[in-house]
Amino acid sequence: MECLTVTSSLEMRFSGRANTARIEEAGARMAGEIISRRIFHRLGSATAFTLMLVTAGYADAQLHEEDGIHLGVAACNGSNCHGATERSNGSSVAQNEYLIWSKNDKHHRAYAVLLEERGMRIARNLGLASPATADICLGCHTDPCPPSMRGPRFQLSDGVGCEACHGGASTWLGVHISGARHSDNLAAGLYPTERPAARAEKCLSCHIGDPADDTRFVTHRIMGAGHPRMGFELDTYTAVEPAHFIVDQRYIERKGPVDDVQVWAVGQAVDLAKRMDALLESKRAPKGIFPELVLFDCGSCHHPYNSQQGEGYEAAGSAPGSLKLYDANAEMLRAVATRLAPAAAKALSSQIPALQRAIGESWSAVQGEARKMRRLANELLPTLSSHDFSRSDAKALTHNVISLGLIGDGTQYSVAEQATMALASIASALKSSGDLTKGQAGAITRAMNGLYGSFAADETYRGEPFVKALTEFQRTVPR
Amino acid sequence: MATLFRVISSRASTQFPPRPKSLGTRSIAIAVVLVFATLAEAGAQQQNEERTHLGVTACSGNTCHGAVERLAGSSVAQNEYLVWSGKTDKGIDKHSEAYKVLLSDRAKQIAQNLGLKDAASSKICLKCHADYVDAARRGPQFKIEDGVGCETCHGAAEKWLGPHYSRVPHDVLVREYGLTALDNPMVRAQKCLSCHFGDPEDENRFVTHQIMGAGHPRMPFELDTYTAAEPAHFTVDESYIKRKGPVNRVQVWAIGQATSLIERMDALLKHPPKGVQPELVLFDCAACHHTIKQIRWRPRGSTGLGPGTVKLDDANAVMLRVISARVAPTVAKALTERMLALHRATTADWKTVVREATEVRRLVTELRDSLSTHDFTREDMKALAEGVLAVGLTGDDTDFPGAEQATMALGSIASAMSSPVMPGHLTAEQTKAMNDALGGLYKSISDAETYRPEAFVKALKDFQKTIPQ
Repeated sequence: MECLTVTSSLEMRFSGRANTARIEEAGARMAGEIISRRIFHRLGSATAFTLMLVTAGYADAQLHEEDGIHLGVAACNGSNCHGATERSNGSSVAQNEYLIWSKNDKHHRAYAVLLEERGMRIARNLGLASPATADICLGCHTDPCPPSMRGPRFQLSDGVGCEACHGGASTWLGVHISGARHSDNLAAGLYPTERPAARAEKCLSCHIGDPADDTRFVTHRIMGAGHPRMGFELDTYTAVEPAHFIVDQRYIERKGPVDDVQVWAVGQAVDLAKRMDALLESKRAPKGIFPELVLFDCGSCHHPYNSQQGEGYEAAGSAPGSLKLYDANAEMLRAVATRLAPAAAKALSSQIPALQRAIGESWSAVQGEARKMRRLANELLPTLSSHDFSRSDAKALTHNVISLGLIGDGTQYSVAEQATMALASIASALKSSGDLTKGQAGAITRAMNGLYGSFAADETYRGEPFVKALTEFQRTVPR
Repeated sequence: MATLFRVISSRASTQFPPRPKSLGTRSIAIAVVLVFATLAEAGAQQQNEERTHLGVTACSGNTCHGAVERLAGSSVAQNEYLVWSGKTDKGIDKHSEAYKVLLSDRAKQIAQNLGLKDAASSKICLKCHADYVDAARRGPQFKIEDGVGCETCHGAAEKWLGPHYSRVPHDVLVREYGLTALDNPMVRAQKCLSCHFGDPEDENRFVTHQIMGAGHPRMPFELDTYTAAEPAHFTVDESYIKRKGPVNRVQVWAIGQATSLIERMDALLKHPPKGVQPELVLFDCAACHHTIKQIRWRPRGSTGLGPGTVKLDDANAVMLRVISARVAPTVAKALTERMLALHRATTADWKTVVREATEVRRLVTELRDSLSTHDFTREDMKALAEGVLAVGLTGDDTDFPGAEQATMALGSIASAMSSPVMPGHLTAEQTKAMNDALGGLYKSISDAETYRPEAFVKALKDFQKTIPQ
């Protein structure tokens, strides 16, 4: 289990050199189970029974192993396909996916930003001739398939286009256009972005990066040259992309229901595992007398001299003045495990400070603790993927996340940021459960805005306003 | 820093006696004597470290150093204790409050963060916030609450107080009785730096990054500026020069820089990385402590470091490069190369860091000897001011610690150039113009957090205009 991590499975998929993730298959089977149980819960037993038959087929769907030729955005954006202004009768999707992507989704501008002032400056600082030809930029600012895999209408300048996430379409486009079931598309090679763990891997392959791939990993050197910091939380980032899918009856019929809390929780586990992968990757080992600083919590160094956070860091296991590894995902996962898997929560509680303490020992000590942490994350993943998150779970998790923020460590920017996005996901789940009154939903939205406002900019972030906003939010959660 | 500037500018008006003839030769002779004397002094110092500290009370008598008015025939102003304890219009010497701050809320916070019971009873605090000696070496009137008192810097008075009171000459007190030769810039630099940077040999007398992280303020230092801003409780008048030799503030600055860099290299060598992090206190604070959006990195030919790396605080080395370019050009070239190699070593491995730091240390120790014997002339001073200006104006180093050191350097050079004892010293108007420009420089570095290199460069240009052709 340990050697077959989420990262390596993704890499294998890209390079097509090995059997695609066994984990994904296992995840898919579990997803089948969740879907059936959840649907019972939500839609009533008769409909659910029918759907179970459908999703059973989905769950057993074989995933296509090799990436196809990338045909380019032009293969998807036809006005009768995903570039329609109006949905045609009988379509299972809104058909405006291309329009949403091209108008509002930053992925569309991923290549274009390379050529703007900031992109040019970063390239100059890195000694690159141009960001538009540098692999270390293109690896994540475009659909980075190798030239041999590019179809005639493929354009790098399309940025992060359809196939960067959904996979090269040559193997599945025909099946897809002929109105196949979703499971047939998957079998033909469509990437299963609807599965939280698979989606997390796909997003994180850029949003953290692939530590083993020099063209897809933002090092501290690139940060120091001017690259912005990269926050990420699966459920929140899916929503703000903005998502070009709508979870309606037809979506659920084809792909199963979506629970924001689950997407969040699974995202945290995959995120943590991938961060540990980065610590374990030999390419990211210390060079000279410093470790790869991008793996650390930005706020542990980049704060003004006059606002040391000694107390918070002590709680996290590190001494004052010590570098601190980014561990906000581990904290969130601990909040989840406290509800779902108390033994794992206990293990995380001691593993988080153990990882931080190892910084004072040696890199091999850090790696030893990272290995243990990764195992904890990977072991939690099946539980998170199969758990049916109830309304009382959502409320308990809200409480756990708030408690993290209200004591010590939570006042750190990295944890505050993750806690806020976590609460947004949980709030979204509570709202879509339909159990909240209009007044309750409105109060939560207002409190949510207060939370986001309390740390709008990392440079002006202070723990106190965040804690205040968190306390406000706490009041809005119905008992 | 703003306060520091006020203090310095108020000192600029200090009256100097008519200049002695043939100052140049004389200062060389004195410097040579001092270099040799240092060896003998070292022995006396060693012994003195085992003697008893009598306490501030032993010095502050109103007929001694606590007098409101100078007695006829006294070679000093006699108000030294009053200056130190803040009872004159010069403003208080913070050394007298060094212990008291250990009782402040901030100190309590720092102690708590470090897991200490109490700052005021912890060795790692007291060793610099008081005249810390073993109980057996504290005389009956000694009080730890006096903070950094007379004997912390001047040495245990047990053996020299009697001869001092009976007017044994200064050089004899130093040589025979263990009075610390603070008039010797190198000795003074070592004494100040043993706290203002820390004693790398003494783990209880070194502010590590852990102590910084717990809340200790940052500690900039420049020997000449800090001597003036203390405020100094000595006046360089005829009687001072007769007893201790003349003072050339540019020389004080230069020797301070060399000593600082030597101590930095010692500290680097004494603190190998712990776990995966080196001793961060030796690095440029601003390399990390800036907001994420405000990218501080700029390419610097003198470090060769790429973006995202943590840079050693090399401000003293940059100043020494300027100084040696004038005083010892071959050393300047070697220093440039060795510093580049040291910066590069931080991205290679610890073994290489040790090798390069040792080289820098050796080179600067040699340089310091030539600085002690060099007669800094008006032409030297002008050239040094231009050299310091060029570092910022060419963009070679506009990092915060560099800007801070450049500002203090220009302050020292300006004071030296306006000193009436120097041939061709500045006129009152020229001095005023320079002081005004200096105010702009201090303003540009008044806050490390909001520091903007552009504002510093602009202030440098303004200062440049005030240097007479």
